[in-house]
Amino acid sequence: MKKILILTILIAAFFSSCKKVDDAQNNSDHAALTTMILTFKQAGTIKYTATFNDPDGIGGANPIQFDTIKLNANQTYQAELVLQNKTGGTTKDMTAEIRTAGREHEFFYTPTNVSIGIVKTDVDILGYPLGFNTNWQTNAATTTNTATVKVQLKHKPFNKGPNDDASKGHDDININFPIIIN
Amino acid sequence: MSTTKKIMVAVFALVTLQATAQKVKFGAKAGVNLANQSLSIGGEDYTSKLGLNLGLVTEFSLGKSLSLQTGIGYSNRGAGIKHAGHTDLLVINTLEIPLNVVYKIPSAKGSFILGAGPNVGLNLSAKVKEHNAPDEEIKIGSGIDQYKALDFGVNFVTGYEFNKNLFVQLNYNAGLTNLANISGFTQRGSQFGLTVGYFFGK
Repeated sequence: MKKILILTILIAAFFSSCKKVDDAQNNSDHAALTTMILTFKQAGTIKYTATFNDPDGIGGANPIQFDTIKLNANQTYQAELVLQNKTGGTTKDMTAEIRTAGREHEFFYTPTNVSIGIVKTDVDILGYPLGFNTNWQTNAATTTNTATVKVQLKHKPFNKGPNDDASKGHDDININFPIIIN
Repeated sequence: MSTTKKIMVAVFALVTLQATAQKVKFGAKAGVNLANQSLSIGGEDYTSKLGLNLGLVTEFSLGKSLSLQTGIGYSNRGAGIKHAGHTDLLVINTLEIPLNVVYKIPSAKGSFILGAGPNVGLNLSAKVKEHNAPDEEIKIGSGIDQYKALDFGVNFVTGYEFNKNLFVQLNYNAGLTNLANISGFTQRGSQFGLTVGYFFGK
């Protein structure tokens, strides 16, 4: 009788401990990112929108839309980024999903041949930088047609930190927007 | 009960049991782990990751149906994240010292075993194995981007011991230590293991 009791307790302990513990707010594997829309605002008014749209994904046909970012010199803009999946002829917004998975993601904005200060203003669930929202401080007008701003979404599984640089993790999407400052 | 007290109780139990032990057996075992991590806040789904486990086992017999199993082992812990058509892996290499009280139920060709006890893990190294990117080390220490070195857990074990030294075990280790050093965030590991082992001599 005693043996049966011990056995029952041990079996119960074993199986109750084997229950899979899930995250509180789960988010599954996200779909491909085919489309990026950057909206620039001043005092709540849209000043410019730049779109990259490649519905068949990177590596297939050329993007059907790939805008140059056009901003004015010596201005501050509040930029907001939207991500979409447009494969199969339907548009699926991916912004909320990636934001929820912010613990494993971060945007990096890298200007080349242009003087511009870009600061991330939103954070993930841990308070680490995310980068859907940014402030852009433009300076002098561009004098070259080779000016670009690279927008990279990095996937950083397991090891996102508060002060990472763009070398950590791997690209989910990497778009090098041409830019003209007038 | 504090961690130190728990260890003291475990050590005291070990010494007491050793003193009354009738027979000591040594063995070796090897197997596979299904490891995962559970986190206190949302993000991407973590999935189980396959890894290896190896170990040396010492068994102190405490009578006909009760024994104490301890030893030292290596365990490949961590987790996976399925993402955009690939899987990224977290690999944690851990040295383990389990201490299980094992109850044996004799049958025709051997005995069924059921056991439980504490487990002390020492994390040796950790890294992220990423898709299209070089491996990135996660240091062991107390920094906010590091994992703690000491990882206390609880073992549950079941299996079968054949009369001729061979044994098969299914074990589950639930980590109790929060591995992360980030305030407001907890991360705990757990492993299912399937091992085959052999006791030397008779």
